[in-house]
Amino acid sequence: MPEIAAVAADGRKVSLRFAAQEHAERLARTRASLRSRGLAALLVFAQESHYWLTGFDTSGYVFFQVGVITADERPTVLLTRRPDLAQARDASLYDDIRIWLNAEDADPAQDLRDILIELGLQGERVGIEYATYGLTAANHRRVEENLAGLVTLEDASDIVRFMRLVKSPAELVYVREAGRLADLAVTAMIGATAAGNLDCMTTAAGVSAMLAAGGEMPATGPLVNSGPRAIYGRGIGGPRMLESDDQIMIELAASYYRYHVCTEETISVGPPSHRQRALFALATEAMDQVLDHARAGRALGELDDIHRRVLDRGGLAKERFAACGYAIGCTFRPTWMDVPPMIYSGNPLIMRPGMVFFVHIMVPDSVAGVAAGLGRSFVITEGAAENLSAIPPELHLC
Amino acid sequence: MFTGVPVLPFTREEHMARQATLRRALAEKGFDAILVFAQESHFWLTGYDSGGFVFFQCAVITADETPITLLTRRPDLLQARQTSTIEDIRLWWDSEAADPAGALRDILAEKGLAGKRVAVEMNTHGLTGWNLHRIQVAMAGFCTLEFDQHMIRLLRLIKSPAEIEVMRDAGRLLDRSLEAVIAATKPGVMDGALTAEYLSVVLGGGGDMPPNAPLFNSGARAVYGRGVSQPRRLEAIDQIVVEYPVALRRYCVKTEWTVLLGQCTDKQRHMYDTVRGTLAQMTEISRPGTTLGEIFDCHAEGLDAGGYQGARFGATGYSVGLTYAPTSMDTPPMIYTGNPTVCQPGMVLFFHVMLGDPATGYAMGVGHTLLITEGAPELLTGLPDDLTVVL
Repeated sequence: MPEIAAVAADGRKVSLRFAAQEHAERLARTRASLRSRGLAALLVFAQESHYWLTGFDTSGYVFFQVGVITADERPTVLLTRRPDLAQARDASLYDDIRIWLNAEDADPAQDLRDILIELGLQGERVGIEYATYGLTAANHRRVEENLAGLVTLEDASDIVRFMRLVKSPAELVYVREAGRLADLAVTAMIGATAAGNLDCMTTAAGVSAMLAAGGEMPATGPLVNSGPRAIYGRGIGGPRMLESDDQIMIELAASYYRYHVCTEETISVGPPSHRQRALFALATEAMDQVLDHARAGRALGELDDIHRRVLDRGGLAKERFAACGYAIGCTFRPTWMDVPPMIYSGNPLIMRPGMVFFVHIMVPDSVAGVAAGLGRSFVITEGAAENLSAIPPELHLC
Repeated sequence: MFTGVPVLPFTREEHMARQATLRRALAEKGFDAILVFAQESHFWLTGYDSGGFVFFQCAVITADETPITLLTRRPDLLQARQTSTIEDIRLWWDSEAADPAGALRDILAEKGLAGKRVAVEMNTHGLTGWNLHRIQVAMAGFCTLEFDQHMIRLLRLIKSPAEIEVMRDAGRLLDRSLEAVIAATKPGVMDGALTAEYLSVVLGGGGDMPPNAPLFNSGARAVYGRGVSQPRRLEAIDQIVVEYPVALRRYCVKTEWTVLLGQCTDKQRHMYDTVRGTLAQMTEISRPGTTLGEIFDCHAEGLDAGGYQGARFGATGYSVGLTYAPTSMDTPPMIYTGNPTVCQPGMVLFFHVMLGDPATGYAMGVGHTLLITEGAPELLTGLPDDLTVVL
């Protein structure tokens, strides 16, 4: 687990997760993209973008926090709060770190305005990352009010996001390690599941296994829904005691250097019903076909066509979800879903080598209250997709 | 085989009374409806418990008694039915042509809200800048959208007796977790293993996964104000700052503590005495009538008197309670200088006092959660009597 030592432009020593050269290339590609769109700068609000571009790793995006990247080589500027200063200085390539302090009249968007003026960006077209949890609607409004008349803002949420879609060899090393951690978590969770236990002990076993093996806390989850909750599509608060005849849906991501790999499994406590076996068989059939079809050059939406076709043929057209997965990569709370792109029918995005997706076939029968599901993450390659899990697709019995 | 019966987090009467309070507040401010995007608001008002806020999801609540309508995605349908008082649930489906903001406009039209004043819950990770843009476009010329000024969050600021009971339980669970973490801290242990220890106690005790990652920062990273990725092994001479929430039924209490390994220098002792004394002073003055700004000023005076003026942060805590990812800070209010918010019985606050010394790399942080009462505050989380030094 090496920390990569590097030297920032101003000579300060920093610790990174990727070689400084890789960050420099990412920044150069971002700048080229800005220039090709006629944008003079990018306002970075997505934590994923901060991390990918500069190494800056924080949860400071829950408050107003912005990076300013100009299309030319001017120093990169970060505006953040005092608690984030030390890690921005010691573990990011941002050249110039500015701080705003909480106060009744604090308006960090005004500070941002001053920074843009300093950089000589008056009258320019400036890209902004709107589609991110790092920019709430309230902060969006402050930015628009403060920058009105100074620059022309244009949505540029897609620039860094779509560059992040295709992973570099160094990123894939982390992705594969996250896949290994996810498998370790699943194995530990199956081991901890038994009638009479709280379902949250299954959760604890999974998270402990990830952390013990060198992972970090994932951006969300694990989702462990048992009994009647197994048909839910989301996690829920509060534990539940497992009964002698029970069912559990597990959906989790393991995180390694913020790179997430997801997996989904079904556990039956006691012998599974015929209905559950039948649902799981459908999930397996669809997942097999998806993994087989996931090849470079094909449209992403075709994977959801498979999901729909198999479930509809199984009589579950009214139960199935409208999407069956999404891209994954380096993500921060509140989600591991690195979207767009979502995997829904008609999504025209062409799969390319280096892209990483998670597909899950969730098969709830809300009438019978029975659920089965299977999910796998995979890398698109020049040939067959690389499955990131070594666990065979089966209904686990505890 | 498994039949779900709707189960609400609080009594139906309490949820309905909260909805009535909100409807009155809307009417008083001249709003005809509010668009609810914060998952905290969904849970508090109706019980609806989901992670669905990471996509476009909105509940429409009118000032009059019209039933609440929820617009969400298919994965959230069943738990919306089974965890909440909401009966009218509409779905939007992912596709290239998906237009949830247009679907929302249709719902508003159905409810007769054309031309009306509608508040929008904006200060939430449940509404990104992009989704605000989409609703502004969809509602242009249809109705007037206005910033809600944290309306529901401020209604949540003073906890009910039932909420306070949950938070006391969360506090007891937190105390057990901190004891376990301290007992497990020794040289050679990965800081990630301490995180696992904390989670095992919390989950084993019936708690939830925390809304934000716990901070277990050791060595040179102990001066950071936020968690970072990658675990680190504790050394013979080391330091670790822990700061984490414990969530029970989505209600969070928080703690902060520092453990030293192998040594406690005079400088570290002085840092500890300063932060602990300052925390005690802040707690002492936290009574009805004190403003949050005064609590910050007390924090600043304590640290300045210890000689740490250059090292202090711009805020020293915030309201805590019901929060979803990515944060357990239920803000506003934050505790910074000049904040005029007055302490009132039923408010629950987290105070933490944190120092990082750039010259030595020494860090020191302490913090606890307290309930404002009619008299002295009630501590919901405990700390050891003295600095923990593992020799």
